[in-house]
Amino acid sequence: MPNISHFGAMTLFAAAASAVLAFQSRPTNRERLIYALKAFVMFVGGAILIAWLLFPISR
Amino acid sequence: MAEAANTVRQSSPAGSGAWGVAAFLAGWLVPGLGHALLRRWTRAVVFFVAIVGLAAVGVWLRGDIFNLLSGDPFEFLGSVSDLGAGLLYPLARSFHITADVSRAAGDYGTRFFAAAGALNLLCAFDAYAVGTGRKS
Repeated sequence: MPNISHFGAMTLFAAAASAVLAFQSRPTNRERLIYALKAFVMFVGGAILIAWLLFPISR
Repeated sequence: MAEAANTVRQSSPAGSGAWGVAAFLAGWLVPGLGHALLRRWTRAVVFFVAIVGLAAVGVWLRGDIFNLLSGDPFEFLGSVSDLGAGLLYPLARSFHITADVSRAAGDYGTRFFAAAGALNLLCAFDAYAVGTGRKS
């Protein structure tokens, strides 16, 4: 059975989506790198933040 | 430097509606192909790797590749997103995967493939914009 952790899936998705969005929306490689890093941190950081906010009502 | 960029731009087959439509269709059918037609090689490679990678992981995790003709409205909506992946959709369907969404990984797989379809549509529209000359 193939398996992947929630964090692994989230990281993989964030990396792929950030790269695609960066290359679509920014013209130079430097801007793309900065945009991709920001988007990646926001994807992963946002999910971790929401997870902690929901933690008190998870049980 | 600017001269070199201008030379590349001039040699690029972009700037008409026909190129835009061709780039859109090519980009929709095969991720990155629209940009490759327009000689945007870096973008073509990044889009191909990212989108095919997402779709492949979706299939590997045994996600649900929705059936367009099932008659179920929710499955139809899911298949519209999956169809965004172009030829990857019939290819994934041809594997006859038994979807296993009883496990979290299977559910992630469903989302991965749908996300690949949505991102590929964005890339196809980007290829259209480049093809028509609205974007460099």
